[in-house]
Amino acid sequence: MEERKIYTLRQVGTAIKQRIEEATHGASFWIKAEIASINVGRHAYLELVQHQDGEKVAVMRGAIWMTALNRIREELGNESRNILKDGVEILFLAKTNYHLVYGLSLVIEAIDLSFNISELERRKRETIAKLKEEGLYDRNRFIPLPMVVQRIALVASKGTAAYADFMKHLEHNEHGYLFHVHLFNSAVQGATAAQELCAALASIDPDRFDAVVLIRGGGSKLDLEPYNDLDLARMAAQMRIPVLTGIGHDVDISVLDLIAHGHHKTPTAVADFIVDRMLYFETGMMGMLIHIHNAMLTSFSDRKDQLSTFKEMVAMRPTALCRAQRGNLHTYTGQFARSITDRIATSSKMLDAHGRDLAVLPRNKLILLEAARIREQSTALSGIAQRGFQLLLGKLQGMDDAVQFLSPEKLLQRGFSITRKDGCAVKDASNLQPGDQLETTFAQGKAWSTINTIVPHEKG
Amino acid sequence: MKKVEENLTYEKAYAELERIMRDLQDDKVSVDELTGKVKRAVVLITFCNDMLRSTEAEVGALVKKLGI
Repeated sequence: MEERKIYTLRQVGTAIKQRIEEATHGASFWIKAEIASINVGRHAYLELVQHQDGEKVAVMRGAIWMTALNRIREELGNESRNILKDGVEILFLAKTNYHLVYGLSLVIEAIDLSFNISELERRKRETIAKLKEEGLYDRNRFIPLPMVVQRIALVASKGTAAYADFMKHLEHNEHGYLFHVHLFNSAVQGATAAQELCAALASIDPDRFDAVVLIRGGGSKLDLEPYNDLDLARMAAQMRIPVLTGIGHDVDISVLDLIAHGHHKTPTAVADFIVDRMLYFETGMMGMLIHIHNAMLTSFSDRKDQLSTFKEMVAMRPTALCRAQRGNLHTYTGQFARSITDRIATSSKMLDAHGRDLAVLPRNKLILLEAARIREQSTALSGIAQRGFQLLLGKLQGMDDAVQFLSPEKLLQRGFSITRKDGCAVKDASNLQPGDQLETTFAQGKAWSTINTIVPHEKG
Repeated sequence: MKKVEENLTYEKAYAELERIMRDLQDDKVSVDELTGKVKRAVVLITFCNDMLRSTEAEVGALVKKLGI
């Protein structure tokens, strides 16, 4: 049987250690690996892993000795808790170390923070690109923000300074505005933060609020990680009401800030924005009240002027109307008179025309004959009348002669006399009595006598 | 004070105020409507102030200050 060479474990270990040291010459290397787990005490012990397509392709132990650990913590500042934790990929400077008892490990001397920052930025860019691709990047910004944001769905961590500051600024605003804030409690950092924030957003009833406000106190750049979460951004972008943020500071803009309706540096800045918006609304309203009041006064004054103009018109109108009517009457009278004259003239002309027409009509011959006959008769009548007249004249002459013959003067001259008693002619002797005085008129002179005897009238 | 309708919002109140203001400035309001419009404006503003502060006492003081 061939003699076998047997090594002790120590010999093997020492040989490996020598080989490794010969290969590395004690030099340090920049290595990229994910922290699968970390245990920090005085020293830090890590399990480093490399994944490829979801499979572990390499695993190695790592260690940070106390001195290096303190230095690294100082360099990382407040990001150290975001770096030295499970699941974080880091870029570190390390030496290989083979310990005969503990085996192979990487002794970490330094960690490059800029690697993590740029990784974060790269992931952010990827997330933003994805949101744009999905049409969600601008979605929330296009939802109109109510003029008054009064009912607020606040996504924050109760008991944090951020929450206290926000509430203080709202509740103690100098204008006395009242806000209805409902807290949707959620962790704002740590491994479960993104998930909790999503759950908080999901439980908000958009009909009961004017806006969603997400706040968080100041933190490191890597503290913002949950607010860069793609799912959270998607949910916020699809909220039916505007999302306002007050997370982080100027230089730290998270994905959520970018997709939000509006982002502010701090929780107090969001609170002030909301209060100022309310003040703006109220000021605008009061401005309008002043305008309305002024317009009302102007309107009243205008109407007063109008009224007095109307009054004047009312006073003037009847006089003017009468004058106008009088004028009209005058005109009408003139027109009437003219029309009458014209009418008469026209009628007259018409009559003339008719007369002329009659004269020239053939049947006028009859008329002419009739006229001639009338003329003859008229002449005859005239002759008869003439003769009648002469006769009458002769008779009258005869009567005049008789009258001349019978006159009292002629009778007296022929021997007749007139006997009067008391001035009246005596025709009947029976009316006389003896002793009566009688006056007798002769052709020449008068005589008075007294009756002696009366002889009554003898018949025949 | 006249009651406002149930579903009145800040937006609606503001829009109505703007309309009243425009109408008054454009001389579209008859003298009969004028007082009604102004009263309505006061109701709207009082409603908003009331809602913004939600305390009757403060609204009362404000109304007094406005001389409404």
